Amino acid sequence: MFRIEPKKSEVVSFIVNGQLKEVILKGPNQTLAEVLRIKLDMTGTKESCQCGECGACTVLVEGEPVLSCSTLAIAVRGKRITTIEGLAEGGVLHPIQQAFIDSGASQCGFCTPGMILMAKVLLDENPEPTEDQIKEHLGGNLCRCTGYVKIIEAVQLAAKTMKSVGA
Amino acid sequence: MGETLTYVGKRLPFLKNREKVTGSVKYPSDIQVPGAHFGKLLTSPHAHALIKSIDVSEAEKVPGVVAIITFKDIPQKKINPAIVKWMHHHPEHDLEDMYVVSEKARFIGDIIGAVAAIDEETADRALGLIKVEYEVLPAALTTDEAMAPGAPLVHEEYGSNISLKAGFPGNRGDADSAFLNADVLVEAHVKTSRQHVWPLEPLTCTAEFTYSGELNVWTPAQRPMTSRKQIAELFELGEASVNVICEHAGGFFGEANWSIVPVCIALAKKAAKPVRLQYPPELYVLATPSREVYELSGKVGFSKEGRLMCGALDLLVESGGYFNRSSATTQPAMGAFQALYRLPVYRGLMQAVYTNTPTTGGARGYGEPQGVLLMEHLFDLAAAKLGKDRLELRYQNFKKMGEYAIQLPMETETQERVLRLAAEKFGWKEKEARPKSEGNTRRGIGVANYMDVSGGQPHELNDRHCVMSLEEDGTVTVTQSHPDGGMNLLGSCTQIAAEVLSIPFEHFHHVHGCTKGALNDMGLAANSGLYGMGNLYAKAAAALKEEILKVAARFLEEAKENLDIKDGVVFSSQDPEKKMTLREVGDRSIYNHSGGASHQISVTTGFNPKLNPAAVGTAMADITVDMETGEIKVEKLLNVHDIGRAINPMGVEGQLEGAMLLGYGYALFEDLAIDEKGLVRANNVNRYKMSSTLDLPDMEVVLFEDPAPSGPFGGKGVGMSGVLGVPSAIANALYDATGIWLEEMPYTPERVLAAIKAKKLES
Amino acid sequence: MSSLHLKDFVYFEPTTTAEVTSLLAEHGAKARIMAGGIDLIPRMRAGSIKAEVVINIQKIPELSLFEYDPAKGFRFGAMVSLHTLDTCQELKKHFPIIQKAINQITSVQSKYMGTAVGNVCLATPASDVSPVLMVHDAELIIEGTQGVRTEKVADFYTAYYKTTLQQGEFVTGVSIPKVAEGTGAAFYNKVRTHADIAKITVAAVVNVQDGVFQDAKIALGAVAPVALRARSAEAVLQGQPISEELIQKAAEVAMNDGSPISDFRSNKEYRLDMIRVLVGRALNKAVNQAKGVQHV
Repeated sequence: MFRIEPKKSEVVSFIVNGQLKEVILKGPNQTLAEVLRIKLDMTGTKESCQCGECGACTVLVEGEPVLSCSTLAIAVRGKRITTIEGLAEGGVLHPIQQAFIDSGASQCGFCTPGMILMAKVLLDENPEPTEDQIKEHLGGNLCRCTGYVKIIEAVQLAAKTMKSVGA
Repeated sequence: MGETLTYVGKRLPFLKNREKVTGSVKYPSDIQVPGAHFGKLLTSPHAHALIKSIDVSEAEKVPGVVAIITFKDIPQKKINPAIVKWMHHHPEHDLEDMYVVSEKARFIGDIIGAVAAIDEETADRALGLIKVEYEVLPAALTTDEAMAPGAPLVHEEYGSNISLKAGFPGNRGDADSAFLNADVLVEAHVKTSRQHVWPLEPLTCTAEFTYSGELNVWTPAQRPMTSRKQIAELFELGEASVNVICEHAGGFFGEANWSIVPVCIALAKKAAKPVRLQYPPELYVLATPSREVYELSGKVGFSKEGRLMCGALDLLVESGGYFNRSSATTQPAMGAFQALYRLPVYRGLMQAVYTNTPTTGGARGYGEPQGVLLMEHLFDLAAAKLGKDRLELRYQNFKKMGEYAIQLPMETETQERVLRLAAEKFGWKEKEARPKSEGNTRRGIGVANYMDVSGGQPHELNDRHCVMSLEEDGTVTVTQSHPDGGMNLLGSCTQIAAEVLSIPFEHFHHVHGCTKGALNDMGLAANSGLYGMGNLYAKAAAALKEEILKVAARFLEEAKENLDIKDGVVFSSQDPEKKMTLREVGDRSIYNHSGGASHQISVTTGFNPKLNPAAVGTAMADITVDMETGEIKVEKLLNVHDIGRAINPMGVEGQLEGAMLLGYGYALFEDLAIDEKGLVRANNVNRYKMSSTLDLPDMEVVLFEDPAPSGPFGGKGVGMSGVLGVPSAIANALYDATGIWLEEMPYTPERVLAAIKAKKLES
Repeated sequence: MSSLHLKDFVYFEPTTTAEVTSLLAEHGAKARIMAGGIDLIPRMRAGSIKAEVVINIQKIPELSLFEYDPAKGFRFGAMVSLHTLDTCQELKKHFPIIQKAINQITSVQSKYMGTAVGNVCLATPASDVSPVLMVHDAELIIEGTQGVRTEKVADFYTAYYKTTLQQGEFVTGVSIPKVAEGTGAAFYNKVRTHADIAKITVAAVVNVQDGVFQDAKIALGAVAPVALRARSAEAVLQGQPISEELIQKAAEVAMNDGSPISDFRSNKEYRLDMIRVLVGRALNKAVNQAKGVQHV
């Protein structure tokens, strides 16, 4: 049975945004957020409430959204992880990122990475969501700046552009 | 001003948004200074206690501990971390009553010490070994307890828990005799709640002394330059040796970087090593101020024709453990009460009371929503008594041109037009005509007008400076100290500068969020951003244009009067051959100078606001009340705001929408919930609830534009304004639906249902 | 005190349920099961749970199974995520209030990570999932070193945050019996905001035959130290002809089944009132639905 003792070094790897990353964990007690932010210096993943309530730390593990503040890094070793840093390709923004800019959906920007990743999960599953479906899907991502109006508009805009690009 | 504007009024992308949507922006909490030690706080478990002794000897022996500070290790000088005294025109009203760490515990969570160590585990071990001997004292947990005879004193030196009594500077006439002459008197009371604005970014500070004795501080500082001043004075450093760095912050809704900064610096100083300190979530709400908490009693008198004759507002502010902004927010509160309507006689009185609870004061709105809440309800009460229409009574009493807005003259007269527009957009008449009852529910609509400011003047200095330079590539770099807190202020200001200079918006660079290399600036507060910074950018851009044309005149051998700039090209109106790009001007002024020394074209500009155009607006709410459950459902929220001119309408809408939702949460559910022991119950995001997308009501923002003569392109303030009317519109809608006026916020289903039962109302 | 970093613990990744039970038997109260981790990890950081041993059950394949059998009902394992249940069409069709109670959990991320069994095993009185399982007479499948036993969800809680689980035992799944013809169900809760824990939850399932309450089950959350069945209110209805008066009487009686307290989410008086109001509304809705089902 796989086990790790406290403070015991364990080399683990992840595929972060398509790249293999090796990390030495010192014991099992590091969250995925910590590993991304501190070990890999990928601070696009934010950490706010530390209790799984705000969604700022959202990343995708095998395409599914998880709260990296509540995920043990050791438990997702070997998995494919997508963070906000992995969305733009070759300097070209993802349509959702562009839509957030065009709609003024990012004010202070602290919730933005989590919002955009959640929007991606939604639009990958459901290319034409209703307003209510967007609200339901983003319910676990807090924003204190925008009042959400422009975030919802951004997701609607992204759905439109992704559809026209895809078509 | 013609309507041929190229950049002003356009929905341009917010500055640095490409960085934000890719996660590449660095916030202070993202900064990892190599070798930074882990700071952790020791806080009081008691609401009120003397610290008889603190023994750190065992804790100091823990390997890896680099500094422990207690009261004896900090500057023995009292401060008020929220207030920089020399910025205020009534500094005697701002009490300095706090040490960096406390000599006595004044509330649960009061900081009494701190540890820095190589890691958190070591810091935790050391904290556990600090022996504190407390003498627990009786606590004053409410204002009633604090004002009772023989109450325990939170700060002994004042001899009372009432620390300050002061009148509003604009008080006028004899209110008592005026009330005797009024035909109709109405009064109302309310106790407001403890909202915490709770920005998403965790509050951190990293402090590092360099080997040359300079100090670098990374923290979400809303006003980096005033933070620098406070730090320099407290730690006896030269101001220029202190570098406060905050390029971006994860939300500014009222300054929050309270005591974490001096505690972190004290640790770094003692350890002679860099230290990073972060409030854990449950400590954050204890250690940073919540929204100001007031008990308000308002009274106004009308003539039988419906003319407002006199008013009085008594305001008791619950400071909590420390004074903080107990004076600074009550000025706007007392001002907001008397701002919009002609009130010949007015008496505003405040008193501040200490309690053994966390410190309050200074959230987005800064006392104004509470003043609006009371006055707008008094109008509804008076309309009912006078048998007048609610809106008509308001139209009748709006101030006119030439009168004073809050403390400075009105520049435009828009209140009536704003309210009429709101009523039309909202469908006020149609909604008012609907039946009030339907099944288990009742419906109601409410209105609230507000008059907000465009800066702190004349109460507070709002002076600011920047350097604007033409680079050799023809672009413009602006250097000033402001952080980006999400308001897109720098973007809006750039639109202004681009317009003045006729240089493409994309051709601007920004050095910001760092005190080193920047000129002084009093920072952002009180809706001052767009008006103050916008005017500064407009002024600097005009000055830079002058300089560019002067140099270009020499290069082109053309009279300066004949030259102008269009889309980044200097051209002569007389001779089409005489033109050069700004790149040529910029480059030649430095490298290819024809005669004279190399001279980069650059201006240093200051702006010292003397006026304060009022930003007026109207909020309307349409609600249903479930008479069996007491739940209020907000069906519609509208806010019409007179922005003067929307420099970037997308940004203005975003400011209003966010602020409206903050006001909505303030009215209905946000509250720190302090229990009978003085413990904050809602001390984490899983307990303190803020709105999510699923709580979002149907919100509509309408911008009203009538340029203010003193504003940049007519622009005025907006940052706080969306909070001002919403709670009041909801409260008035509840009154409309049920006749219930709750004297305690927030308007929870529990309170509404209790009132329904007390009034024996049925649906 | 809370910490930014998790404190030390030993981490295990068993691949069989037998490995889990032996680890639990060995480490007792020092050990914690991690399913989604959505509750455990934040609580460990907050310092309210001190776990010296963390047993991750994510790598046990059989715990992720779920199936609907028309003859028996619905069964799902301890690692079946809330998201899987939320989007399961058979659950939505046959047990709509279970799907609804899961669906209204606000955070989609929590639904992907979290499990229904995890929610039940938290033993919080404010669970929305436990009451809907209780009114559907759901059973927990519990495995221990001594073998497998079952326990009705309604009998699982013994006191505030306490269950009947013995050392070495853990819940491996849930089984929900099929629903009889003529059954209707309703679920209501009250929250400060959508993302909050409920201040009160009410679930009801009724079986109506010829205008009579053949069966009625009512469960309450957040109004007692544990989520529980409102047995005295159920007794009022059992075998009686349906009427608005009877429903109101049951709703009044249900107030005696709860023993709510005042806290920062609500107060005792309000919770009592809401037991009455929501039980009344839930019964009416369930009855209407049951009648509708009969007509089909």
